[in-house]
Amino acid sequence: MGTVVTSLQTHRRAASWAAFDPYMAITTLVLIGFGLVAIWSAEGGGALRLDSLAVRQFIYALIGLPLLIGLSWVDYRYIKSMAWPIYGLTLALLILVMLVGTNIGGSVRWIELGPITVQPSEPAKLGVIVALAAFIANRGEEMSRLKNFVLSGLLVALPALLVYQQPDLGTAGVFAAIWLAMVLFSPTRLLYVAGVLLASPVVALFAWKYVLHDYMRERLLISFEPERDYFGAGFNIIQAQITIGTGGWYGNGLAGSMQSQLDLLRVRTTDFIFAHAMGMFGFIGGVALIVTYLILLWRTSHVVTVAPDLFGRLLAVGVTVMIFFQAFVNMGMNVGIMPVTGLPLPFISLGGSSLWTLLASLGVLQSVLIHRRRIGFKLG
Amino acid sequence: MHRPGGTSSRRIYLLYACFVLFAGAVGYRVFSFQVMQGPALAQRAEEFRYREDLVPAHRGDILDARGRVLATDVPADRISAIIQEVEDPRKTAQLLAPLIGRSEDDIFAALTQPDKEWVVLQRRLSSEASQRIRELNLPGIVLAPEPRRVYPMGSFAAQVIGFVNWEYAGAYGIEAAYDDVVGGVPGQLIGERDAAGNVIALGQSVWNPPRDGATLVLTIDSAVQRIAEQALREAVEEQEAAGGTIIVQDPKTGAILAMASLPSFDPNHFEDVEDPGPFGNPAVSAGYEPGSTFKIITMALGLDAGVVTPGTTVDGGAYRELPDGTRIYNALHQEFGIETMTEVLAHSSNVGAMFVADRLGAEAFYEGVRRFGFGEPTGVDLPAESGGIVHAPDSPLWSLTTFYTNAFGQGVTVTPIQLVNAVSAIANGGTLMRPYVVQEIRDDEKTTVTHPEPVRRVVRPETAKQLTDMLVQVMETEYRGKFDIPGYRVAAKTGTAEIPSPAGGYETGDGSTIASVVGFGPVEDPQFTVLVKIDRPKKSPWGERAAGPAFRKVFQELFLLYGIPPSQPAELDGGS
Repeated sequence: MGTVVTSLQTHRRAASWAAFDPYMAITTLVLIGFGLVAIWSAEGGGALRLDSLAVRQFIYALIGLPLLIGLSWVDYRYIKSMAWPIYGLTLALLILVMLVGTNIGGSVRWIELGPITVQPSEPAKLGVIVALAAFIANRGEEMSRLKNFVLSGLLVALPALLVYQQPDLGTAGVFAAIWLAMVLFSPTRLLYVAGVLLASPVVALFAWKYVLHDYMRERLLISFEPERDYFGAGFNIIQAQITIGTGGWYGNGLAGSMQSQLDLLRVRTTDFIFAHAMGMFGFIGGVALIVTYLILLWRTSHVVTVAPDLFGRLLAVGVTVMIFFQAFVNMGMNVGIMPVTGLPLPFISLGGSSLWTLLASLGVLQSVLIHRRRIGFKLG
Repeated sequence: MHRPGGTSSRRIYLLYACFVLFAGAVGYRVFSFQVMQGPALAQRAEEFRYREDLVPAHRGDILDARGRVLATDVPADRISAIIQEVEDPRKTAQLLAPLIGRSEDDIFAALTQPDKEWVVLQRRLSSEASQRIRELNLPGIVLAPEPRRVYPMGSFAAQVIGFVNWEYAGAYGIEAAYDDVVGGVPGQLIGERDAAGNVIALGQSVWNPPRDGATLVLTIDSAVQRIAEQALREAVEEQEAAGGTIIVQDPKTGAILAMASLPSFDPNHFEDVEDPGPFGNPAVSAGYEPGSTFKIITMALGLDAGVVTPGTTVDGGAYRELPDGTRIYNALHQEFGIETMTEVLAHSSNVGAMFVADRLGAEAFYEGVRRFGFGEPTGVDLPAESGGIVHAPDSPLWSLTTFYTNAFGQGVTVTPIQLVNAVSAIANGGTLMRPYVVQEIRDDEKTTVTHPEPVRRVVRPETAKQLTDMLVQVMETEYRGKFDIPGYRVAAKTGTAEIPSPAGGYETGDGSTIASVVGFGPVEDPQFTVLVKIDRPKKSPWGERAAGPAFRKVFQELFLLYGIPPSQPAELDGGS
């Protein structure tokens, strides 16, 4: 309890809003704005009403932005002290979804709360980042011990397995990527990481043969060869590629491509919003979007380099990789170079759980920036 | 706590490298789709945008001259399965088996085929069966309307009517010849569509409604057809013949009143017929050497050219010797002594027919044969008509032997329709008519009536009259008591033709002839020309014996059916 009080007092002393990264905030707002326009268009345009998807997403953003500001204001070290409760809550939510979740399209990923559904695997990403960062920061140089390396893996594997059985292969992949990147930035032995990387093809082969279900294998194959199931799972991938193709250099404008208008391109407010957006804005828009992501990733990576401690640095690594992995796997599946999974396009795909998680994550990174100078002040 | 920036700043480059790599990969793919493949993908997008549906037209009925339905459409369904959507193939197969007439295992196998998305399980289901399937509401099982063609009278006039194939297109017979007319024009629905393939109500669309097929009214009179089919069946059975053809034509118009051939088939079950041979219509497509019935033509040409008269006599002996030494004999090498031209027909004297041809000369003979329509299709409105084969002197296959044998109907190939039509020209006073089977086409807007179409005059009316008298005399002397029709005056000529052997020469032995009779009556006002042709009769090779009784029966029943009074009532009593 004493820790809590100390930390709460610490942030009051040390908050330096001058260190708030405006570029990170601006690129975030640009991406959210881009997403709102794309969602509005994907839904067919027209007048905005309270139940329009774009309005709903706008409300999610309005709720999410104070979350970002609020978490910036909270000293990230306080979050570190709360890491284990956060991890426990994460696991509890994932188990809860397993018990009372709603089956949508063959997956149990959502919990219905009256009019809204929440997807606990989204905040779980941030929960795992916080828990793993705290675990590694607490171990410090001890991470060079194999036991701790393995424990860090188990820490992530537990929620990853809960997510995998939903089934949600994509989010399980996000956890794996986060873990890999964070242990790489931890004071562990590179040998372990190299071992994991070398073993991964073998594990992948094993998983392909014995772990993945037939339909999962088929889905993965269809992702790269959509003609395998032209009128089934492959249809939307083909439509996505056609949609992108019709965008040309400058796009079809706000109405989007004919594939979207004729409802040939499905799930275009979420998984396939990138294809829809490319139909709207063309290659120029595509480059602008990718560049915006790169700026955001550059700013989050910057936090890695300036974070005053291992915990802050690892938070930044985890959040950076989370955004990066989801963004590029989502865009990759839209263009047929990544398997089709349900990963959202960060800040753009419709969905409150994802958006709030992302905004909260950026809040945590801003907190690292804002509170990094505390030691300096004290000494200075 | 110090900043271990060194390690981090080096490892951060690994992250940057990943960013750039993935951004580059995605960017390249987007560039590839939008710029490099842009036009091609835009083209594909257009294909998805529009969808063309063919809406089948209603196929018209085919009626006989009395309005009886010979062919009509009834609603039916086709049952298919979208294999992926079938949840329980075993159960589905079990439920469907009794309804669609396939075994459970058979259906199960069809439903579990790998690499197939779609399978047609059964076609032409009755509406009761499809209603029951609809009630089962099986996932993945789809019913689509597919009208079924029904021929209510079964094999009746099957070769004339033909049938429609699985694609609902006319195959064979009237169904094929008039496919465009009776089949109508399918409608076309081109529309912008959504992903489910449904046409968007407010999208751009083009709707060309189907034009339903016209109703066809045939000249075929089912009562006459019945007479012909019955007589043919009896004759073929009695003679254990391979088959045969009977044609009844109205000599004044050229309309075909009946056209029957055996072997036949049931067009409702054409798929069960293993040998498609009977699908064709031998009455118009099977050429044969007519034999002595062709002497009518030779004699008509001789009379018309004035080279012979009915009283002209010939004393030819049993054969004619050609310059190269070939001897061409009468049948059975008979010797008839001095014969008048009428007796030549009565005896069916080959020597006499050769005498007439000799007087005509080859040029006039062949010109005349062609005038009668031999060597080219008659133009009857039935498919796959053959023109027969006439080798004229300009043909390398022609020789003097050809010429003289042609005079009595060997070495020349004709079709039944050609012969009946040529004899009709004698019956009607000398005009060759175009034979036809469809007399009326009724569509929504109008009724088109076929008008009889004279092709050309082939002989003078006096010639036709003279020849008719001669043929009646033959009937009343030579064939009296054999197959004449007591009380009625009918002109007729028999033929017993040998069948060319593929090995060269002619076939010998049992069943190696085509026996036929062709004639018309009543001669006072000819109403019918009838050809009875029996293929390979086994009991008697002769036209008079094998085909004669059927010829008589057809005429007797026709006269009864049409209420035609006898011309010589007195003879009814004394007739033998």
